[in-house]
Amino acid sequence: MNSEKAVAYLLPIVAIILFLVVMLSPSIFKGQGVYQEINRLTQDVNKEDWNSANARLLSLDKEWQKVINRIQFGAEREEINSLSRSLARLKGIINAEDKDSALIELAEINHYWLAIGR
Amino acid sequence: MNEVSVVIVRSLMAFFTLLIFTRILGKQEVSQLTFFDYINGITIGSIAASLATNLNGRSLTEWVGLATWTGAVLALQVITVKSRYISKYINGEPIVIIMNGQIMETTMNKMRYQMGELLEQLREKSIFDISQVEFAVLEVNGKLSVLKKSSYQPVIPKDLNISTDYDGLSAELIYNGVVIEQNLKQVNLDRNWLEQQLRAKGINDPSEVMLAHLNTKGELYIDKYSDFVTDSADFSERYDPKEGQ
Repeated sequence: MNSEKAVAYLLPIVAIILFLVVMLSPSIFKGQGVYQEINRLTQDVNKEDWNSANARLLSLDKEWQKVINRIQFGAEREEINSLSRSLARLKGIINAEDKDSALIELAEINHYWLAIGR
Repeated sequence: MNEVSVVIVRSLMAFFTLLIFTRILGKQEVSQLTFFDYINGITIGSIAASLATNLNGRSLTEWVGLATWTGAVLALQVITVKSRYISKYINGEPIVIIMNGQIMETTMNKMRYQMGELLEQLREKSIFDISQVEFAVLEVNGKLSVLKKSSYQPVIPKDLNISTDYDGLSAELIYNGVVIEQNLKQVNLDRNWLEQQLRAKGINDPSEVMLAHLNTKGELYIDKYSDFVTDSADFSERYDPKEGQ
Protein backbone atom coordinates (compact mmCIF):
# COMPACT_ATOMS: atom_id res chain seq x y z
CA MET A 1 0.00 0.00 0.00
CA ASN A 2 1.53 3.33 -0.99
CA SER A 3 1.55 6.29 1.37
CA GLU A 4 -1.17 8.17 -0.54
CA LYS A 5 -3.57 5.23 -0.23
CA ALA A 6 -2.66 4.77 3.43
CA VAL A 7 -3.52 8.42 4.13
CA ALA A 8 -6.81 8.04 2.20
CA TYR A 9 -7.80 5.16 4.49
CA LEU A 10 -6.32 6.57 7.70
CA LEU A 11 -7.92 10.01 7.42
CA PRO A 12 -11.56 8.86 7.78
CA ILE A 13 -10.58 6.34 10.49
CA VAL A 14 -8.81 9.05 12.51
CA ALA A 15 -11.77 11.42 11.95
CA ILE A 16 -14.27 8.83 13.19
CA ILE A 17 -12.13 8.03 16.26
CA LEU A 18 -11.91 11.77 17.00
CA PHE A 19 -15.69 12.14 16.64
CA LEU A 20 -16.26 9.17 18.96
CA VAL A 21 -13.96 10.71 21.59
CA VAL A 22 -15.90 14.01 21.36
CA MET A 23 -19.24 12.18 21.56
CA LEU A 24 -18.10 10.03 24.48
CA SER A 25 -16.68 13.08 26.27
CA PRO A 26 -19.42 12.99 28.96
CA SER A 27 -18.25 9.54 30.06
CA ILE A 28 -14.52 10.09 29.45
CA PHE A 29 -14.02 13.64 30.77
CA LYS A 30 -16.71 13.77 33.48
CA GLY A 31 -14.20 13.06 36.21
CA GLN A 32 -14.93 12.64 39.93
CA GLY A 33 -14.60 16.26 41.12
CA VAL A 34 -18.30 17.11 41.10
CA TYR A 35 -19.26 13.77 42.68
CA GLN A 36 -16.79 14.31 45.55
CA GLU A 37 -18.06 17.85 46.10
CA ILE A 38 -21.69 16.58 46.21
CA ASN A 39 -20.73 14.01 48.87
CA ARG A 40 -18.84 16.57 50.99
CA LEU A 41 -21.73 19.05 50.68
CA THR A 42 -24.19 16.33 51.76
CA GLN A 43 -22.04 15.75 54.89
CA ASP A 44 -22.02 19.48 55.66
CA VAL A 45 -25.82 19.69 55.25
CA ASN A 46 -26.29 16.62 57.48
CA LYS A 47 -24.16 18.32 60.15
CA GLU A 48 -26.08 21.57 59.49
CA ASP A 49 -22.73 23.34 59.10
CA TRP A 50 -24.18 26.11 56.85
CA ASN A 51 -20.98 28.21 56.58
CA SER A 52 -19.03 25.24 55.31
CA ALA A 53 -21.98 24.22 53.09
CA ASN A 54 -22.02 27.69 51.47
CA ALA A 55 -18.29 27.52 50.71
CA ARG A 56 -18.65 23.93 49.46
CA LEU A 57 -21.52 24.94 47.15
CA LEU A 58 -19.31 27.59 45.56
CA SER A 59 -16.55 25.08 44.88
CA LEU A 60 -19.17 22.57 43.57
CA ASP A 61 -20.51 25.23 41.17
CA LYS A 62 -16.94 26.08 40.04
CA GLU A 63 -16.15 22.41 39.46
CA TRP A 64 -19.44 21.94 37.55
CA GLN A 65 -18.66 24.90 35.22
CA LYS A 66 -15.29 23.25 34.37
CA VAL A 67 -17.03 19.94 33.63
CA ILE A 68 -19.60 21.65 31.37
CA ASN A 69 -16.79 22.92 29.14
CA ARG A 70 -15.43 19.41 28.81
CA ILE A 71 -18.68 17.53 28.16
CA GLN A 72 -20.87 20.06 26.32
CA PHE A 73 -20.26 18.61 22.82
CA GLY A 74 -21.45 15.13 23.74
CA ALA A 75 -24.00 15.62 26.51
CA GLU A 76 -27.68 16.46 26.23
CA ARG A 77 -28.35 20.13 26.78
CA GLU A 78 -31.30 19.25 29.03
CA GLU A 79 -29.07 17.10 31.29
CA ILE A 80 -26.69 20.02 31.77
CA ASN A 81 -29.48 22.58 32.25
CA SER A 82 -31.32 20.37 34.78
CA LEU A 83 -28.24 20.06 36.97
CA SER A 84 -27.50 23.80 36.70
CA ARG A 85 -31.11 24.63 37.66
CA SER A 86 -30.94 22.26 40.63
CA LEU A 87 -27.71 23.90 41.81
CA ALA A 88 -29.36 27.34 41.64
CA ARG A 89 -32.25 26.05 43.76
CA LEU A 90 -29.82 24.48 46.25
CA LYS A 91 -28.13 27.86 46.68
CA GLY A 92 -31.41 29.37 47.92
CA ILE A 93 -32.16 26.39 50.14
CA ILE A 94 -28.73 26.55 51.82
CA ASN A 95 -29.15 30.31 52.35
CA ALA A 96 -32.48 29.52 54.03
CA GLU A 97 -30.69 26.82 56.07
CA ASP A 98 -33.41 24.26 55.25
CA LYS A 99 -31.85 20.82 55.85
CA ASP A 100 -34.72 18.67 54.48
CA SER A 101 -35.06 20.57 51.20
CA ALA A 102 -31.26 20.70 50.79
CA LEU A 103 -31.02 16.90 51.09
CA ILE A 104 -33.85 16.44 48.56
CA GLU A 105 -32.13 18.80 46.12
CA LEU A 106 -28.76 17.10 46.66
CA ALA A 107 -30.33 13.72 45.87
CA GLU A 108 -31.71 15.18 42.65
CA ILE A 109 -28.31 16.69 41.72
CA ASN A 110 -26.71 13.33 42.37
CA HIS A 111 -29.30 11.67 40.09
CA TYR A 112 -28.60 14.13 37.26
CA TRP A 113 -24.87 13.71 37.73
CA LEU A 114 -25.04 9.92 37.45
CA ALA A 115 -27.24 10.18 34.33
CA ILE A 116 -24.70 12.30 32.45
CA GLY A 117 -22.81 10.19 29.94
CA ARG A 118 -24.60 6.96 30.88
CA MET B 1 -22.36 26.40 27.77
CA ASN B 2 -22.08 28.18 24.46
CA GLU B 3 -24.78 26.67 22.24
CA VAL B 4 -23.37 28.20 19.05
CA SER B 5 -19.99 26.52 19.52
CA VAL B 6 -21.73 23.21 20.33
CA VAL B 7 -23.79 23.46 17.12
CA ILE B 8 -20.62 24.27 15.11
CA VAL B 9 -18.75 21.24 16.49
CA ARG B 10 -21.75 18.93 16.05
CA SER B 11 -22.40 20.22 12.52
CA LEU B 12 -18.79 19.55 11.53
CA MET B 13 -19.02 16.03 12.98
CA ALA B 14 -22.30 15.40 11.11
CA PHE B 15 -20.93 16.82 7.87
CA PHE B 16 -17.75 14.75 7.78
CA THR B 17 -19.51 11.63 9.08
CA LEU B 18 -22.02 11.97 6.25
CA LEU B 19 -19.18 12.47 3.77
CA ILE B 20 -17.38 9.33 4.99
CA PHE B 21 -20.55 7.22 5.11
CA THR B 22 -21.74 8.24 1.64
CA ARG B 23 -18.28 7.39 0.26
CA ILE B 24 -18.58 3.96 1.92
CA LEU B 25 -22.02 3.45 0.35
CA GLY B 26 -20.47 4.04 -3.07
CA LYS B 27 -21.42 5.80 -6.23
CA GLN B 28 -24.98 5.59 -7.34
CA GLU B 29 -26.50 8.24 -9.53
CA VAL B 30 -29.58 9.91 -8.13
CA SER B 31 -31.44 8.98 -11.33
CA GLN B 32 -30.62 5.30 -10.73
CA LEU B 33 -31.93 5.21 -7.18
CA THR B 34 -34.91 3.05 -6.42
CA PHE B 35 -37.70 4.51 -4.29
CA PHE B 36 -36.31 2.65 -1.25
CA ASP B 37 -32.77 4.04 -1.87
CA TYR B 38 -34.26 7.51 -2.13
CA ILE B 39 -36.11 7.19 1.18
CA ASN B 40 -32.95 5.80 2.82
CA GLY B 41 -30.99 8.82 1.59
CA ILE B 42 -33.56 11.21 3.03
CA THR B 43 -33.61 9.37 6.37
CA ILE B 44 -29.81 9.33 6.68
CA GLY B 45 -29.73 13.07 5.87
CA SER B 46 -32.46 13.74 8.41
CA ILE B 47 -30.57 11.89 11.18
CA ALA B 48 -27.40 13.83 10.29
CA ALA B 49 -29.35 17.11 10.53
CA SER B 50 -30.65 16.05 13.92
CA LEU B 51 -27.09 15.22 15.04
CA ALA B 52 -26.04 18.74 14.03
CA THR B 53 -28.76 20.84 15.61
CA ASN B 54 -30.81 18.81 18.09
CA LEU B 55 -28.98 19.70 21.31
CA ASN B 56 -31.60 17.89 23.39
CA GLY B 57 -30.30 14.54 22.17
CA ARG B 58 -26.92 13.03 22.99
CA SER B 59 -24.64 13.30 19.97
CA LEU B 60 -23.55 9.68 20.40
CA THR B 61 -27.07 8.26 20.17
CA GLU B 62 -27.80 10.28 17.02
CA TRP B 63 -24.45 9.22 15.54
CA VAL B 64 -25.15 5.57 16.34
CA GLY B 65 -28.52 5.92 14.56
CA LEU B 66 -26.72 7.32 11.53
CA ALA B 67 -24.13 4.53 11.59
CA THR B 68 -26.79 1.83 12.04
CA TRP B 69 -28.87 3.12 9.13
CA THR B 70 -25.79 3.36 6.90
CA GLY B 71 -24.71 -0.12 8.01
CA ALA B 72 -28.14 -1.54 7.15
CA VAL B 73 -28.07 0.06 3.69
CA LEU B 74 -24.53 -1.23 3.14
CA ALA B 75 -25.53 -4.74 4.27
CA LEU B 76 -28.47 -4.72 1.83
CA GLN B 77 -26.16 -3.54 -0.95
CA VAL B 78 -23.73 -6.41 -0.28
CA ILE B 79 -26.53 -8.99 -0.05
CA THR B 80 -28.25 -7.82 -3.24
CA VAL B 81 -24.94 -7.90 -5.15
CA LYS B 82 -24.26 -11.47 -3.97
CA SER B 83 -27.74 -12.91 -4.43
CA ARG B 84 -29.80 -12.29 -7.53
CA TYR B 85 -32.87 -13.79 -5.87
CA ILE B 86 -32.67 -11.48 -2.82
CA SER B 87 -31.93 -8.54 -5.12
CA LYS B 88 -35.14 -9.23 -7.03
CA TYR B 89 -37.06 -9.75 -3.78
CA ILE B 90 -35.87 -6.44 -2.31
CA ASN B 91 -35.59 -4.17 -5.34
CA GLY B 92 -38.26 -5.74 -7.52
CA GLU B 93 -37.91 -6.62 -11.19
CA PRO B 94 -38.21 -4.71 -14.45
CA ILE B 95 -41.74 -5.10 -15.82
CA VAL B 96 -42.69 -5.32 -19.49
CA ILE B 97 -45.37 -2.69 -20.14
CA ILE B 98 -45.53 -2.92 -23.95
CA MET B 99 -44.84 -6.26 -25.62
CA ASN B 100 -44.78 -6.61 -29.42
CA GLY B 101 -46.63 -3.29 -29.66
CA GLN B 102 -49.37 -4.43 -27.24
CA ILE B 103 -49.96 -2.54 -23.97
CA MET B 104 -50.06 -4.92 -20.97
CA GLU B 105 -53.01 -3.40 -19.08
CA THR B 106 -53.15 -6.14 -16.42
CA THR B 107 -49.47 -5.65 -15.55
CA MET B 108 -49.97 -1.89 -15.48
CA ASN B 109 -52.88 -2.20 -13.06
CA LYS B 110 -50.87 -4.56 -10.88
CA MET B 111 -48.03 -2.02 -10.72
CA ARG B 112 -50.50 0.88 -10.24
CA TYR B 113 -48.88 2.46 -13.29
CA GLN B 114 -51.17 4.83 -15.13
CA MET B 115 -51.60 5.26 -18.87
CA GLY B 116 -50.85 8.98 -18.49
CA GLU B 117 -47.48 8.16 -16.92
CA LEU B 118 -46.67 5.76 -19.76
CA LEU B 119 -47.50 8.36 -22.43
CA GLU B 120 -45.51 11.01 -20.53
CA GLN B 121 -42.44 8.78 -20.27
CA LEU B 122 -42.70 7.92 -23.97
CA ARG B 123 -42.92 11.61 -24.86
CA GLU B 124 -39.78 12.23 -22.77
CA LYS B 125 -38.10 9.80 -25.14
CA SER B 126 -39.43 11.77 -28.14
CA ILE B 127 -42.04 9.11 -28.95
CA PHE B 128 -45.39 10.72 -29.62
CA ASP B 129 -46.88 7.79 -31.52
CA ILE B 130 -47.28 4.67 -29.38
CA SER B 131 -47.49 2.49 -32.52
CA GLN B 132 -43.71 3.03 -33.00
CA VAL B 133 -42.98 1.02 -29.84
CA GLU B 134 -42.12 -2.67 -29.99
CA PHE B 135 -41.14 -3.14 -26.32
CA ALA B 136 -41.30 -0.87 -23.28
CA VAL B 137 -39.89 -1.99 -19.94
CA LEU B 138 -40.54 -0.22 -16.66
CA GLU B 139 -37.22 -0.40 -14.80
CA VAL B 140 -36.77 -0.86 -11.05
CA ASN B 141 -35.92 2.85 -10.65
CA GLY B 142 -39.21 3.85 -12.34
CA LYS B 143 -37.66 4.81 -15.69
CA LEU B 144 -39.01 3.46 -18.96
CA SER B 145 -36.68 1.71 -21.41
CA VAL B 146 -38.05 1.63 -24.94
CA LEU B 147 -37.19 -0.47 -27.99
CA LYS B 148 -38.69 1.05 -31.12
CA LYS B 149 -39.95 -1.10 -34.00
CA SER B 150 -37.08 -1.73 -36.43
CA SER B 151 -38.71 0.44 -39.10
CA TYR B 152 -38.54 3.44 -36.75
CA GLN B 153 -34.94 2.97 -35.63
CA PRO B 154 -32.28 5.35 -36.96
CA VAL B 155 -29.83 4.13 -39.58
CA ILE B 156 -26.34 3.49 -38.24
CA PRO B 157 -23.06 3.22 -40.26
CA LYS B 158 -23.16 -0.58 -39.91
CA ASP B 159 -26.52 -0.75 -41.75
CA LEU B 160 -24.87 0.99 -44.70
CA ASN B 161 -21.65 -1.07 -44.47
CA ILE B 162 -19.61 2.08 -43.86
CA SER B 163 -16.33 1.53 -42.05
CA THR B 164 -15.67 3.89 -39.13
CA ASP B 165 -12.51 4.90 -37.27
CA TYR B 166 -11.84 3.77 -33.74
CA ASP B 167 -13.10 6.29 -31.22
CA GLY B 168 -11.89 5.91 -27.64
CA LEU B 169 -11.37 8.05 -24.57
CA SER B 170 -9.50 11.33 -24.87
CA ALA B 171 -6.48 11.92 -22.63
CA GLU B 172 -6.30 15.12 -20.62
CA LEU B 173 -2.78 16.49 -21.03
CA ILE B 174 -3.16 19.90 -19.35
CA TYR B 175 -5.71 20.73 -16.69
CA ASN B 176 -5.88 24.17 -15.04
CA GLY B 177 -2.47 25.05 -16.47
CA VAL B 178 -0.78 21.94 -15.05
CA VAL B 179 0.70 19.29 -17.35
CA ILE B 180 -0.50 15.80 -16.36
CA GLU B 181 2.70 13.81 -16.90
CA GLN B 182 1.03 10.48 -16.10
CA ASN B 183 -1.44 10.87 -19.00
CA LEU B 184 1.36 12.00 -21.35
CA LYS B 185 3.26 8.79 -20.54
CA GLN B 186 0.14 6.67 -21.11
CA VAL B 187 -0.21 7.96 -24.68
CA ASN B 188 3.56 7.46 -25.27
CA LEU B 189 4.30 11.17 -25.64
CA ASP B 190 6.55 13.53 -23.71
CA ARG B 191 6.67 17.11 -22.52
CA ASN B 192 8.85 18.19 -25.47
CA TRP B 193 6.18 17.08 -27.92
CA LEU B 194 3.50 18.91 -25.96
CA GLU B 195 5.53 22.13 -25.73
CA GLN B 196 6.21 21.93 -29.47
CA GLN B 197 2.46 21.62 -30.15
CA LEU B 198 1.73 24.54 -27.85
CA ARG B 199 4.39 26.75 -29.53
CA ALA B 200 2.85 25.92 -32.91
CA LYS B 201 -0.38 27.47 -31.61
CA GLY B 202 1.46 30.50 -30.22
CA ILE B 203 1.42 29.35 -26.61
CA ASN B 204 4.72 29.72 -24.74
CA ASP B 205 3.79 28.18 -21.41
CA PRO B 206 1.35 25.41 -20.36
CA SER B 207 0.11 27.68 -17.56
CA GLU B 208 -1.70 29.71 -20.27
CA VAL B 209 -3.84 26.66 -21.07
CA MET B 210 -7.00 25.83 -19.15
CA LEU B 211 -7.59 22.45 -20.83
CA ALA B 212 -5.75 20.41 -23.43
CA HIS B 213 -6.80 16.93 -24.43
CA LEU B 214 -5.76 14.50 -27.11
CA ASN B 215 -8.35 12.31 -28.82
CA THR B 216 -7.73 8.86 -30.26
CA LYS B 217 -7.35 10.35 -33.74
CA GLY B 218 -4.30 12.27 -32.47
CA GLU B 219 -6.04 15.66 -32.57
CA LEU B 220 -5.06 18.03 -29.78
CA TYR B 221 -7.81 20.28 -28.42
CA ILE B 222 -6.58 23.36 -26.59
CA ASP B 223 -8.57 25.91 -24.61
CA LYS B 224 -6.64 28.90 -23.29
CA TYR B 225 -7.49 31.02 -20.27
CA SER B 226 -7.55 34.14 -22.45
CA ASP B 227 -10.45 33.89 -24.86
CA PHE B 228 -10.65 36.16 -27.85
CA VAL B 229 -14.40 36.24 -28.16
CA THR B 230 -15.34 39.90 -28.44
CA ASP B 231 -19.11 39.59 -28.46
CA SER B 232 -20.13 36.56 -26.44
CA ALA B 233 -23.76 35.48 -26.63
CA ASP B 234 -25.67 36.57 -23.55
CA PHE B 235 -28.74 34.51 -22.76
CA SER B 236 -29.17 36.02 -19.33
CA GLU B 237 -32.63 37.24 -18.36
CA ARG B 238 -31.44 39.19 -15.38
CA TYR B 239 -32.40 42.51 -16.93
CA ASP B 240 -35.91 43.59 -17.61
CA PRO B 241 -36.25 44.05 -21.40
CA LYS B 242 -38.66 46.94 -20.77
CA GLU B 243 -35.87 48.90 -19.08
CA GLY B 244 -33.88 48.98 -22.30
CA GLN B 245 -36.75 50.53 -24.26
